[in-house]
Amino acid sequence: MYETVAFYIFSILTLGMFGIVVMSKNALYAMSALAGGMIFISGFFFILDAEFLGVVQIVVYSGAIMALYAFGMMFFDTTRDVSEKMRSKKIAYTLSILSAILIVAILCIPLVSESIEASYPAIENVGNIQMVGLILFTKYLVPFELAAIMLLVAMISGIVLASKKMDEHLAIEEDECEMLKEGK
Amino acid sequence: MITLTHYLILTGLLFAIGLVGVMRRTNLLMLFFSTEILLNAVNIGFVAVSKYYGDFTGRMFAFFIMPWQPVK
Repeated sequence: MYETVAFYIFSILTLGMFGIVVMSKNALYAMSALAGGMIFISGFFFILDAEFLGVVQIVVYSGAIMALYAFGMMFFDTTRDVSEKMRSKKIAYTLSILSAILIVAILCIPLVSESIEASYPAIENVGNIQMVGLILFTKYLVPFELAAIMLLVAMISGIVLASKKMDEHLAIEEDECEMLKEGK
Repeated sequence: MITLTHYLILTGLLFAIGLVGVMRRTNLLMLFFSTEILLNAVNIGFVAVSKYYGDFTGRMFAFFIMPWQPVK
């Protein structure tokens, strides 16, 4: 009963929030709605007995990503409306509806087949978070390490991209210092 | 009672919203927002399937989708 009510409330809220994200002309409204939608999605994870994922969702998305976008938004003029020029409305809407139907069909295929067995079934008397740890650090250790390397590569490339101009600024400052010294 | 189909339909709807966003938006930042919607929709689908089949693989898959966002 509670599950049903929670599911419908969260789905309506999430759909509304993401609708605002897609349709809003103001970039600030879109970002705030996206943060709200992310938190409501973590509600689904809690309903589905995936507490760890829910907590990670709140921490990663609304904590890290939103702060990142908020900083990114400072480089844009947020008071100005975002102009959208649709070249072909019909094609865009038809394509999106078709691909949504395709996704539902793809996800419904497991329901049709009956001989599906869980490869990593949940063990009794073992908590959800404990189970996540057990599987993550045994079966999925290599993908876990690869994800860590991927994050490191992204961080280094970000620093490299940002630091090209930093060198120039530093050089200019040094020149100015030398000129000042010579002036003395 | 909520079944797996409910969750999959919700996933499809959210994915459709994200796709509309990807096709509609021309600003780069707004495009990133739409791709986040797409990834989150798929995450809900994975977790729902993993719950109703009693399998942890889907949950792990959803977990490994998450680090892609900061990388982007």
